[in-house]
Amino acid sequence: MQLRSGLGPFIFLSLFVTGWMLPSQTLGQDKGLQVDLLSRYYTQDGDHSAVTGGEGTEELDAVGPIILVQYETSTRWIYNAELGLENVTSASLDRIDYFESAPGVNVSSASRKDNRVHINLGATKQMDRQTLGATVGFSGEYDYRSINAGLNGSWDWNAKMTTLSGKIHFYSDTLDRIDIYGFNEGEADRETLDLGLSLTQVINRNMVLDIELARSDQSGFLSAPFNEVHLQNGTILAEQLPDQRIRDAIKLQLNVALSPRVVQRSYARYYTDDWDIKSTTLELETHFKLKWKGENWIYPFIRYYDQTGSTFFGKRHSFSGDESYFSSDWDLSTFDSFKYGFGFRKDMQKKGLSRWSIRLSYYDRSDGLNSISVSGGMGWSF
Amino acid sequence: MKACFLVITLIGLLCTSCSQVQPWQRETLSKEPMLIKDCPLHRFERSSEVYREGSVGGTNGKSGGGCGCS
Repeated sequence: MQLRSGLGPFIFLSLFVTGWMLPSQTLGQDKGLQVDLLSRYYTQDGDHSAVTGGEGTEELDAVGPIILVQYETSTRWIYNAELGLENVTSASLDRIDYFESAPGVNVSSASRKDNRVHINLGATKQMDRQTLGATVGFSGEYDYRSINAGLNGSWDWNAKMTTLSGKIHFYSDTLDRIDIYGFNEGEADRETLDLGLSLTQVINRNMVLDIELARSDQSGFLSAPFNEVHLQNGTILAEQLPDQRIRDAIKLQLNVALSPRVVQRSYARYYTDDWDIKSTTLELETHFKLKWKGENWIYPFIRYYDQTGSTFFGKRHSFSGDESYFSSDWDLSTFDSFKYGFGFRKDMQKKGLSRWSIRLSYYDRSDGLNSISVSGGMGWSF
Repeated sequence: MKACFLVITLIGLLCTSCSQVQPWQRETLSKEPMLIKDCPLHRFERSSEVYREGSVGGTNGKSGGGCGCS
């Protein structure tokens, strides 16, 4: 863990000390503790691994739990904590050392299996018409460490029918430059600043609209140092991408209760960035309330995604090497994808084990990548 | 451009048709599927999409911090 500055602990301490020092209001009992245990299994396969120059297996499995804890006080403070672990098995990462570093010498393949841990802490103060919150977090894995901090707030008006929300979030990442032969060439930095502004409008008692503008400004080492690019003459180089990226998105979301038992969630997003990627996303989720005791919802969903690729992308053997930037990472290519699946959520509305949910999805990308995600969660209220 | 105009017109029409909703009339709006935020399980998939596609933003998802999924 490399906290290169004291920023994380400082913000964390400030957050909680500030919370305790604020004058408390006698509003009654604390609203209590909620604990959620979530877990997910994810598996994918494809034939365009960037690690082996755009051709080769993308097989990957990931499994891991997340614990979410939320405590709300009588003084309208909400404290959140999140702890997640993830175990990743990647066939493509094992190919970093595909070529022997020297005759008969095969470098370590420790990256075939990786573990990731992430921790996030947050506090939010609710006021009559405003909320103000802050978060800090850490994420660490084999070759990547990150600290993050953020502020968010919202303001209600028009009898709480209109809400304006804003957020700012900063990530400071450090990655090990594991090159295409598996050698560690030292560390590199990457910074990301996320800005978000959203307007939520209640249209009537059965309809709510949300519009969100998001900007992400990234700088530093944005290439994956172990991604190969195979040139026309057969030479193999590491991927080269710019050290700056500005990404903009606009999202529209409309949730409509078509009847007391049917809710339609509709989502659309347009995205563009200065690497010349443009994309459109459409999502539909239809929730049906079941006639069982408590709140029980089952929902099928479908998602369509269409992307125009970056000019920095090229298939294997398409670059001469004279270009300033080149990559054979098919995540940057032109493709479309469909995702579909269903979910179920049961809320017993009682103390103790009070809710559980499952969600399954299948993802199919036009370049052959496909994945399955199975996730489930249980929640307790105290 | 036409699509943009259509969206703006649609939003304008929706907003001008807003009716006052009192706190005691918000039962439907407070139901889980009517909330703007994603359910926690959906966040798992958002995270994968950020790294398997070239886009980010508008999903309450993160854009930095690693993923363990190269």
